[in-house]
Amino acid sequence: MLQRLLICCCLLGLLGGCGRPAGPARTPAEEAVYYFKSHQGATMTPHGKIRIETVTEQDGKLRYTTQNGGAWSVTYTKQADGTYQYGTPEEVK
Amino acid sequence: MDRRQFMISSGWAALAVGTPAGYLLVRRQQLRAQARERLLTEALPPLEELSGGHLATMPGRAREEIRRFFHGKCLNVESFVSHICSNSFVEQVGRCRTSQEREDCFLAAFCSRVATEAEIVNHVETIAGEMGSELNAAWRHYCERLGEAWRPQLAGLGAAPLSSDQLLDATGAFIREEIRAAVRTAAANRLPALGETMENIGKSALLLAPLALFGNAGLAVGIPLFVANSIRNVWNYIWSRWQDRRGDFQAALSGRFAMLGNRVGDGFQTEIRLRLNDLYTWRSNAVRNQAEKIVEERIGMFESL
Repeated sequence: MLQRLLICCCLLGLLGGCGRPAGPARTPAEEAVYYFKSHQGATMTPHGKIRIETVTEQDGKLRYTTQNGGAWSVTYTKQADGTYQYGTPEEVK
Repeated sequence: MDRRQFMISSGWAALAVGTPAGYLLVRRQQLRAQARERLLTEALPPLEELSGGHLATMPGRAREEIRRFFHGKCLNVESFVSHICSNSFVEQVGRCRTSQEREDCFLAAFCSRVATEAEIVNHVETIAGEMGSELNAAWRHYCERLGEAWRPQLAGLGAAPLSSDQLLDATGAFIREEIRAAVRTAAANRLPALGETMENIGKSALLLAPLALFGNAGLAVGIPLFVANSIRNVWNYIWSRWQDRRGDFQAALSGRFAMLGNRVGDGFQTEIRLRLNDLYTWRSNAVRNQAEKIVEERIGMFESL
């Protein structure tokens, strides 16, 4: 009985969700931040690992800090295959 | 007249003729040495100070520029890793018959996804160009100050003052000849990263860093030797992990590239320090040479009287 109730609740939840409008799509800047956060967490740089929690987007550039305390700003370009290409970062003073 | 008498009289005659000439020669040498000393006292301490300033800042700056460049490349390792882990690349590597072919394969992938050899060389050239311009501007300023500092000394020798352009031309010709000599003595397989022109002395002096040439499998690549030596370690690492391409490959590889960036930065710092030391030696020799020319022209036998 309890099992049937749970299945019904799940089905109702799913059906209810389908009718709602999808959440707002990410802007290109948000997309770039999301991609960077999900793909560069493991990256090591000559200035140490990237502090993923510090990644933001500003004026078409991604900003972040590294383990050594340096703050950086880097240009990005989205490629046709969905990956991103990054320029040479500039240190933010 | 016997032989003994002949020797004595000849000796006296030689002494009578030779003493004034000998005196004049010695006197001329003394005057030249004094004048040279005065000129170099004005010239060398500021040059040492100038070079000391360059040595204190430029090698470190060059190192940071290289590290920053590699920082950007580390960000692009993700794309490189997904490429070398793709089936097409694995098949391509499988077709390689020798370790050299494999190395060329990885080098081509690295150049296409992370950095081209031209990009690395261009970056090295850009850094050398910027620093070379600073070196040239500082040298021009130094020559202006030297022309002013030598003005009273030259007036005392009855010579016209030297303009900064005259000093730049005279010392520039000397230094260019030193750079040409350094190019000539470079080994055939370690050609210097120097273009045809030597208009920009500062840049040319810095670009005497040797190049390694790769030319196998149709891949003609010229990258600075210190980069090539460091990159080789990365290829060896990739190959050692080739059968074990797990999820942490990106972290491991970017870590290697980060280390490479630090190592190349250190290598570049050392190269720039060596080149700046050479440039200092050439410049001080050029100044000594110029001082020598002045005293030789202005202090002859008559001036010694």
